[in-house]
Amino acid sequence: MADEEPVDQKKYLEESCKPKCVKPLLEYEACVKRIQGDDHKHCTGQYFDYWFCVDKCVAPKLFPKLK
Amino acid sequence: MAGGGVIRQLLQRKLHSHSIVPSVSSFFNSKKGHEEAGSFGEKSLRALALVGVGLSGLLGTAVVSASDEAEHGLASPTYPWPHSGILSSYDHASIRRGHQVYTQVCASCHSMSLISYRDLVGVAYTEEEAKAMAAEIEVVDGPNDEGEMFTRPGKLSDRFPQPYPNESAARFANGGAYPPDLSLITKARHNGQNYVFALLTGYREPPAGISIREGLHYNPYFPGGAIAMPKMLNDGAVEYEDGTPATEAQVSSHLLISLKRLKVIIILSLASSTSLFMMYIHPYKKKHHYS
Repeated sequence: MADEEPVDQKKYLEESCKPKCVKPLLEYEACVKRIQGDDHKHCTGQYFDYWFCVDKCVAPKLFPKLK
Repeated sequence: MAGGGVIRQLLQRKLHSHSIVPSVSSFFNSKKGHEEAGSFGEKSLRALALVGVGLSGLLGTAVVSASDEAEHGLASPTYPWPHSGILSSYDHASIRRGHQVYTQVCASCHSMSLISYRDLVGVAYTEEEAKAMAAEIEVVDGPNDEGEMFTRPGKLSDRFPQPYPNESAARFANGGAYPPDLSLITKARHNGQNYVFALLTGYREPPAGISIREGLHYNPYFPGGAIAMPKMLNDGAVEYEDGTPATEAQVSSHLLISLKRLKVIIILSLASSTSLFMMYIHPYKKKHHYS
């Protein structure tokens, strides 16, 4: 019943939560486009916003999946 | 920015009006009004300098707050730990597996020097199992009757072995970074259990525009973003003795449960031993005064 190659539950849930967090993801990608070529800028803010959204979505679902 | 310009203009106007007065008054009071006339110009200059300092401070804080979020690290989410409820307890199987994770993955760099083998009895292992585990390590003891130190197999009362003899050796072996002792780590970090879990499972590609130097790794949850520890927990990296499938998330959750539970043991034993000590060994009594 256990797979030979167990699939990590967290990665799987993060993928499935992506559609819920489309808005911050688009903001991040827009930022990436904006700063192309500029060495002094970075997109940490948008990156954090996206992952904060994904984490909030994943957290309640994760533990029921873990043994 | 616009506000600064307005302030500058106001001050310049004031300076202009004052610059006429000092020159006129200095002409009349060339002998005794010297200091007064000079102070007008000085005061305005000082005010301008103060405004300049204030402005640069304001602008400076604007820049600092942009990098502030990386300095604090991404906030970790609140996970629904199975032992979170008032009436919930710890799962012994998880604590056992967590300890296995620690010994297989973490113990080569992180000490857990406040925990003894006897703390595992009844929590994760039976007494025989814990005794057998303790006997696998060599402990320096002594001096014996001849005054020499000797090594012997470990006992239940011995603490967990340390990977390095001291902090300098630990730093030297890890590029200058000190792998912290894990005995109380969930208490020693803000939002400890959630933070450590998020950290261990949160190694990701850095955002656009951020590059991490050679030797460090990007982790958004770590304050500053650049952590010396590489990603240690990978799917299938840990083999549990009972054959439970070990994905990264599972391994991390077991590790965190055991870290939290063992921390509770230390704190309780510290508290009880302190109070027992105060009651029986070092009681506070009013000294009898005999006349």
